Amino acid sequence: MNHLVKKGQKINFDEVWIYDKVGQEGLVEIRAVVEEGGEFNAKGKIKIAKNVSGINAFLKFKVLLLGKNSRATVKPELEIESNDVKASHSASIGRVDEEQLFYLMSRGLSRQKAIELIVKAFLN
Amino acid sequence: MIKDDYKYGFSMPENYVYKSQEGLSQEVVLKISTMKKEPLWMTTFRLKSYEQFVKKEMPTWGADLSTIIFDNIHYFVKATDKTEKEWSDVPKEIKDTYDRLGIPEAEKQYLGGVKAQYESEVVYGSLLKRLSDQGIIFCGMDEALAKYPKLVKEYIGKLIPPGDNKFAALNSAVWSGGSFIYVPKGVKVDLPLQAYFRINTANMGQFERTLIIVDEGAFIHYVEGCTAPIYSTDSLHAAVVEIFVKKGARCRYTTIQNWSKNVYNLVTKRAKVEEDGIMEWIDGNLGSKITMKYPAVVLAGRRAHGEILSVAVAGKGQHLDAGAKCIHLAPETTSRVLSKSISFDGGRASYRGLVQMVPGAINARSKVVCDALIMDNFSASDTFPSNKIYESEVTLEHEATVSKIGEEQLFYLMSRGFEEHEAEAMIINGFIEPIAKELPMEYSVELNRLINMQMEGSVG
Repeated sequence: MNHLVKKGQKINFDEVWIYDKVGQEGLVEIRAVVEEGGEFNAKGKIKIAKNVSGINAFLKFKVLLLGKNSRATVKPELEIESNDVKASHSASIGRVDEEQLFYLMSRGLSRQKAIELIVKAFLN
Repeated sequence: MIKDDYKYGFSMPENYVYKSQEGLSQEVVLKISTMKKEPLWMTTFRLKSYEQFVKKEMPTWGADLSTIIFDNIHYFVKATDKTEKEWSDVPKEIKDTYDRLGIPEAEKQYLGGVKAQYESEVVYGSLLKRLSDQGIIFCGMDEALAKYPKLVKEYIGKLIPPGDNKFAALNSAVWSGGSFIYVPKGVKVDLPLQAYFRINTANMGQFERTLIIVDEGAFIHYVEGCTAPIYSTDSLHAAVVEIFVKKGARCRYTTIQNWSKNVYNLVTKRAKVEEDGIMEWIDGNLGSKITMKYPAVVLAGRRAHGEILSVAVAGKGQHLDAGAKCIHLAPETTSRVLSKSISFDGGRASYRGLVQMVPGAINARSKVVCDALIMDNFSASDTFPSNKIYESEVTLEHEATVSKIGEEQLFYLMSRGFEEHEAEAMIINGFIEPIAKELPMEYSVELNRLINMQMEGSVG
């Protein structure tokens, strides 16, 4: 589930994953690239009901902020009511890695092109 | 299974000079202020706060607070006439209570000064001469208001205004006791300062107000420990702690909260950190029926750093809703949050946190890690982080995991000859180790002991 939030755009995302059957496993990864002036608001919840076991659930948010005034609000939540389970989430929000940029630019790409390439790779 | 008798669950006969009527009104607020002979501005501050308290709604998010009945609470209890200076002047009953808590022991050891809050006022206070020679002010909040009204007026309610939330408003209206600390420029306090709070009247709320000012380049470690005797009716504890960390200063604030299992612990704690300053909150939550506490750092100056380490252990009938807030207002500010929670025997532990980075907080960095252990199938754990990032030149990382004790870990330790409960205790001690090791040694030992005691027989 990947999102590209263009200039001045706003994307809201809100979802709950309920695990209520024994042995369920799930890995969800959500990525977003937010361009200048864009806004990405995401909320995701893993909910594990009472009396289930053997669940392994993972929710991952990765957001790349580009340019000025780009915003991201990320709320990964866990609500766990059983103990024989494992549930994790992670969220990272950051910018384009300068070292990656430097590498690509040293190969002759313009800064703009290099960013485009990194964004493309990030969303694939 | 679990032992229900609370370790400090004894209570002394009640013996008071003044005890306010149950319930709260403008009159009660006024009476508190008059009894304390406060300046007019403080009386006005209290009355305005009371208005805010009446207007504010109860928080509907988080733990269930619907069972608090404000009319059944004593808002002010004065234990003895005056603040005692000498240990020999302290009334015997109060002394007996402290003896059981080992206060004089702690004092004999290396602690700088003990401000013990018995009931709502500071009854005993000592401060090593060395500290006062350095210009450090460490006294009860009421004493500070009388002696240093200018300083108090300049800072009180500036970081946590009465309108911040319902319980901050309540505290601002009826506060009593708490500590006041001022550390002058460049002074480094090498001993942890300690305060002991106790509640000893049924239905009595404790509303201490703490204000700490760490001036430029200074350092202080303040330790707050709470134990309370058990009572059948519910008690309310709504404290406010404001800390100002000036340029290049550092403050560490350590709390181990072990209220008895009928106390509502609703605390607002916030620190403002200026350029190159460091604020560290170390927060242990073991007791209380309901805790809602989110120590905050407002990183206002360039390169300011905030750190929040917390442990919550929620057992039968407990809901511990603790967390952290990091607000990045300036460039190159950094913060780190490490939260560990254990829920067992039907308890619920929640992490609720906020990381906010405003536009212009260039190169700000934050890392949040939450680990939770659920010991049995009728306990629960939640994680509710909120990350608001309004600046692109930043880095934020958040991760959380909820699980039980690994079978392989248990198996390994048991194959080495440990009983199952010993193995579990070892794993739990290891789980909280990153935080326990940051505590002064005696607290670290106490924390491990308390957790083991609480969980005795409940694991396995």
